[in-house]
Amino acid sequence: MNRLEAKGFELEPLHLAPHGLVVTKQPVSIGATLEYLQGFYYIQDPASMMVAYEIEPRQQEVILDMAAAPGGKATQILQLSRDQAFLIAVDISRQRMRSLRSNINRMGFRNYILIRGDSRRLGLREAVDKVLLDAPSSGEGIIRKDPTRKRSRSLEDILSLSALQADMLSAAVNYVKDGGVIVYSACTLAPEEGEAVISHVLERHPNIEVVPLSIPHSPGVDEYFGVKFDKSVRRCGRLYPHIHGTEGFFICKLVKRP
Amino acid sequence: MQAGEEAVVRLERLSAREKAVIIAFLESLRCPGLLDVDRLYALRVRGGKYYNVFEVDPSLLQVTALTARAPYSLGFNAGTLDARSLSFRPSLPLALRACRLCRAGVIECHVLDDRGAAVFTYGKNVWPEHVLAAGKGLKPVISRRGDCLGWGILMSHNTNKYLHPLRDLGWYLRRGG
Repeated sequence: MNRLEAKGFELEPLHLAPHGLVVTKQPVSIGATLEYLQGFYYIQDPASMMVAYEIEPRQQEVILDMAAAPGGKATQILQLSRDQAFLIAVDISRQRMRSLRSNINRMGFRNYILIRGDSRRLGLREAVDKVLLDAPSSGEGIIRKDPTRKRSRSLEDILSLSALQADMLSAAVNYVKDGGVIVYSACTLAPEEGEAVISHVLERHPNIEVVPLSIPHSPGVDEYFGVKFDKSVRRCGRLYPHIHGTEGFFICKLVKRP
Repeated sequence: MQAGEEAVVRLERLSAREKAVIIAFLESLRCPGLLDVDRLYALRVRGGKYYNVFEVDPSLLQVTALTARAPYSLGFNAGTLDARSLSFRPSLPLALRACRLCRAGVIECHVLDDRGAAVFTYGKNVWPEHVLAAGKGLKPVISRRGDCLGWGILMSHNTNKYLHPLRDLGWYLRRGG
């Protein structure tokens, strides 16, 4: 922080996240400093940071990140565990995998395994302690930054993403051990990609339950256009640009009962 | 370049010959402890022109057994070995580790002034007027403030000497994604 301030950057603490800083003035791009290249920080939206806090990574835990690239949450998990948790980070995209590897290398972590492939077909031989699924989404949550998102996705796209998200979350339930935690998130405010996915998976897997979040949030919606979801989705969280000052985000924490 | 998408990938211990190459590199830095050579593994891709070398802790190795899928990357990225010549190119994470020892005076380094540091991180050769201190051969490169910049090698062309960047941190912006 001192080094950046000496270079003319102005930074403020982020009230939502203890490790976050908001850049209020940048003489050059914050992503082009020697400090960035040496891996002192990662640039991401506060909403994305909140997800890793819900995982609460601890030393020696095996944590699976099912859609890890480009690595904002993966690197934060390793940072929060002081590189002492074992992270299995999976992504299907070859190009995004390169970004993930680059970011993990840049930040100098060593307790990780990157796997490229479909995270629904990992063939895990043993269950893991925790799973993070930051699901591929329509990206509606970033309309504020990228207005083209308003029109770049059709209703069919959202429905097809919703089915994929439910599939991935079902796989996550199978991967996590009894008593283990799953954190589901999506950069969107569309209930089809949030509460509907959770409700569907709760129906399919009666052994999981939604648990309250520790981060500031607005509650999930339990009804949308006359469609009623499982009541417990109200424990999930929504982050709104106009309320929380973040991207639009949906976060839900689930526990697998023994 | 590595082989195509469907290539077979295997994580294997380094052979004695490969280990000897890396030990020779560490000895050239006069820092044999920079890598734990007994924990070095290669991620071999059939038909690949080079393979990545990783320092992997035994506990992480146990975690790799959880899945049948071959890893894409794991542990501490030490560098790459050329499949034919077995020449070793140290990685940027290894540069960051080595630079700490430069600052502590354990390893000899190339030291650049501000202009030299900027040029170096663009992946360009640095002329001698910007090199404040030069080691012999391949060495970590640091700025005058002690910031790590990568790996560089002192070269000469006719009578001109210059510092050639083998790996520079600017790569993360240019190619890293």
